[in-house]
Amino acid sequence: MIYKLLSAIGVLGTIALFTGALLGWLNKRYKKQDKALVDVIEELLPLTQCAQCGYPGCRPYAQSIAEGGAINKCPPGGEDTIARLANLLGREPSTLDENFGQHSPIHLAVIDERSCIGCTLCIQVCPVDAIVGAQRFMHTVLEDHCTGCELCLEPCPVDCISLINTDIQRVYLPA
Amino acid sequence: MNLLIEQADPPTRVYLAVQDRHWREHGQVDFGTYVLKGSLLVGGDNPVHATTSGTLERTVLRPSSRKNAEPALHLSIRSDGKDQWLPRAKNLSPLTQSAEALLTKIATAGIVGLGGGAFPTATKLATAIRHTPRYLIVNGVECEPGVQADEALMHAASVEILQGALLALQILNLDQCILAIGEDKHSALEIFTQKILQQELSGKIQLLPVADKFPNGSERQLIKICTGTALPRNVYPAQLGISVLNVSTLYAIYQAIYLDQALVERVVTLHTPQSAKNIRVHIGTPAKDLVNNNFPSRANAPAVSTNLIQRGGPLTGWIQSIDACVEKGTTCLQLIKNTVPKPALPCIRCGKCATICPENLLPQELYWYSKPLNEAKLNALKLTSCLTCGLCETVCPSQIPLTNMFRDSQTLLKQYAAHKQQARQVSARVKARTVRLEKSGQSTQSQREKRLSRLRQSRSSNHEQ
Repeated sequence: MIYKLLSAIGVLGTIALFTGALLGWLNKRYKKQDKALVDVIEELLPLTQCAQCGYPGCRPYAQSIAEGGAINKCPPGGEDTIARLANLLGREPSTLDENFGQHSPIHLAVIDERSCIGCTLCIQVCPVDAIVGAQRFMHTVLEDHCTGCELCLEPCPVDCISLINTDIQRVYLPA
Repeated sequence: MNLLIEQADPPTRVYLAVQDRHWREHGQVDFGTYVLKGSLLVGGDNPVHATTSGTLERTVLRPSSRKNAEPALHLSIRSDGKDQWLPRAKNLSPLTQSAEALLTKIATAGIVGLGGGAFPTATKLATAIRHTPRYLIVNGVECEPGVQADEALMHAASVEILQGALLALQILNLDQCILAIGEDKHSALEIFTQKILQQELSGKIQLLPVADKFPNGSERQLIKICTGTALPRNVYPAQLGISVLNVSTLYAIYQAIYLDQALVERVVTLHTPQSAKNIRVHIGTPAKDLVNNNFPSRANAPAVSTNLIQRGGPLTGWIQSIDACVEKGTTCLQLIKNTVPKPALPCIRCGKCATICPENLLPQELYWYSKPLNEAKLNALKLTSCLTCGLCETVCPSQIPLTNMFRDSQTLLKQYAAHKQQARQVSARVKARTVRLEKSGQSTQSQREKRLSRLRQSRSSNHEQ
């Protein structure tokens, strides 16, 4: 009688141990990895890399937000982005801090190729490498890669870069 | 409705939609000059041809006939009424030409899928060739009630359509094709049976009557009927070597290759509440002119401006502006009364839409997750597979405008995917730049140090001397 009882406990105990170990291993192996908060925040930003927020790019700004920084420093994103960020982080939506700039639609930089002198200054400041050219050769903007950050306007010595309106509308992800 | 095709007179102006962003570079557009019918205005992947002879005036923004579309760029031509063709090549011998030569000809003639999809035919065929062609299906099903443009064309031009099918077979290097025709088109079936016998083509062209049931004329449904297997989701027919071409596309291919004609006209079914007819229309004719020219009695009635025009048939069509023009993919135009649609009632989850969906989707779930839009759920429920055929909306007892909602959600999903793609691209470029700058900064630093140490060494050796 006692033998039967012990064998039952033994068998069941082994099965329990085995399945427990298996489940534990599976949980570890196939754990659903959440996206880092920084990545989620970065996706909500307009990604112009314009540095108007005071950080060198969108990623550092996203990092600062993730660490609890203010969410109203992005002029290209405007109120729309602030609302989405507030929704994501469960914070109070605030108005855009005008110290960092005014909200305006996103433009495309265009180089007037007749007046370009080939100084490469704009190439050096472009955060997304969207300008091609070489010293004393005409430069041009790659339309598909330009984010309209306006950083190339200031260093140009002959003012040959202008911004034009694009028909491309920026779409934001649902928050 | 009779099956005669009327030839429309050239309208006073045609407006040709330009899709190419770089049309100025691809174009031979010289405003103010006289152009002949069929002359190439814009080259590139989406070529634009003058559809009538006249003066090329300027660019205008006009409403396009697409759903929810913003005004699009059009080139306007003031017709001189003569409709004079560009001189065309003669004595063409297509049977000795290579597949590449024929495909180039199809591409430069601006031929797109004329069943409504308007996808470039040459690209479609070239993709099928890359993936080893297996089937060619000729689509003469035209299942949508009220649309008869293809049926009328099959009546008028059966020989030309068969020649077009033979050309497509030659391009794809296949022996046999399936000619699928709707069962309700008795006379078309009869004509094609006769013609195939007369020309001894029964070894090459296999006639297949298809049940007259919506949406059997849709590409994916027709492939299932003809081959017996359903296409996997997210796989294009061309990737499996299957090409489905509409009869009117084949007619256009015949015209391009045998007659050296660009695609400048198409057959459109025009409906008003009282009558209907099939007209061969110049592409770019404004819908308003078409209605006024063909139903002059209605034109004087003040009601015409308040009426709406619907592009496409009663199920898949959508309301467009009456100022929009006939495009290559316009199969049917309907003048409908401007009635206020019944308000939508809440979804009662009856499941009728799920039973009728030809793609086995769950419209009630798609509806639930469309407002507010839930991207992950909609992707999991395969919203992109929705044909927007309109059946779910038709059977819905609560009159919920499902098709429009799904079409909007599809566009949004596409835009979100594009945004994500762009975000990935921008991040990658920024990262690459940072790495590069760090590296070059380090290398200049180390070079400077080396030079400095060399300088110090030489100085110290000078001191010693």
